[in-house]
Order: sequence, then C-alpha cells, then structure tokens
Amino acid sequence: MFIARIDGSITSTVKHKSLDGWSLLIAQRLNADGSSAGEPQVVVDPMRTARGARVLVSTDGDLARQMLRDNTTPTRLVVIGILD
Amino acid sequence: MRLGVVRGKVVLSLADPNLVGTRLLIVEPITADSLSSGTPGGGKQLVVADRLGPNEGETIAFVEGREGANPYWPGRAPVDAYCSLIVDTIDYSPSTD
Repeated sequence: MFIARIDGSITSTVKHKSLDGWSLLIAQRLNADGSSAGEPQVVVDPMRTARGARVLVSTDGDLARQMLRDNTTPTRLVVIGILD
Repeated sequence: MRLGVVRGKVVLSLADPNLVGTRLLIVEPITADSLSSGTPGGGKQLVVADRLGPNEGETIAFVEGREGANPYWPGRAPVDAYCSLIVDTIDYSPSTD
C-alpha cells in the first residue's frame, strides 16, 4: 500500500476488457513530507475520488482480480481509501 | 500502471511458445515533470508485452510485476510488463499544496 495524491484522470477506448466501465485516475505516490515519490501511476478508482484528494492505494493483484471479477486483468493498483 | 510512450518494437527470431501472438513494445515511461511540460517521456525504457496494437508515439498504460502475466491465465507466460490500455486523453493538473 502507498499514499498518493490524485492529479488527474485518463480516458481509453482500446483497453483490456476487464477495465471496461472503471474510472482510471492518475495518482502521484507521496512521501510522508508530501514530496513526490516516483512516476505517476494509473489506478482503478471504485469510489469517485476527487482531484487533489490524498488516497491509500493497494498494490495487491489479488484484490484487483477480485474487484474487477476477472482473473486475466492486467491491473494491480486500486484506491482503497481516502485520507482524513 | 505507469504511463509510457511507444518508441519501437522488438522482434524475436526464437521465442518462448507462450509468446506467440504477443507483440513486444519498447516503451519510454512518462515522468511527472515530463507530463507537466507537455513532452511526455523521460523514464528508463523497457520492453512491454502487448496485444492491443498501439502505434509508435502513442501513449499507453502498462502493468508491471506478475500481474503482467494475468492475461495469459490459465496459461503461463514469461511476461512482467503488459500493455493494459491505449490512452485517448490525459487530464493532468497536479496540485502542489
């Protein structure tokens, strides 16, 4: 799991079928002091997270497979909480 | 998934049989700075397995790690990076508060 800030979103027509209908956001991983850690990541968002929000992101591929209900999904990162 | 720009492709003369039908893209990952500046790229290039067919110069999102082999389930493939989608539009405005 890591903390990230939601910096944007993407749209895609041609994609793996398991991603149809899911909101895809751009998340910037953060250090404790709020500085950026690494490159922007595309994450699956099941909770309509607002731009600028700080979120907890899961890197568990099993969770992604269960949530998208597809064993073949090439997906790992899922928003699992919004920081208070 | 990271974002990346397709820069080329790899063709193998001899390959693992599980890779038949899979293209291999050379992808340049997109850094936060490069996304803000409007000239996406800047990361260390890597090879990404693909069955969607993006053209050179197009932007994709790719998964890394064992999930890259998920699309081959229940079969197995020696893949640790896979093109999950071709990007149509990016809406990016980082808030640095």
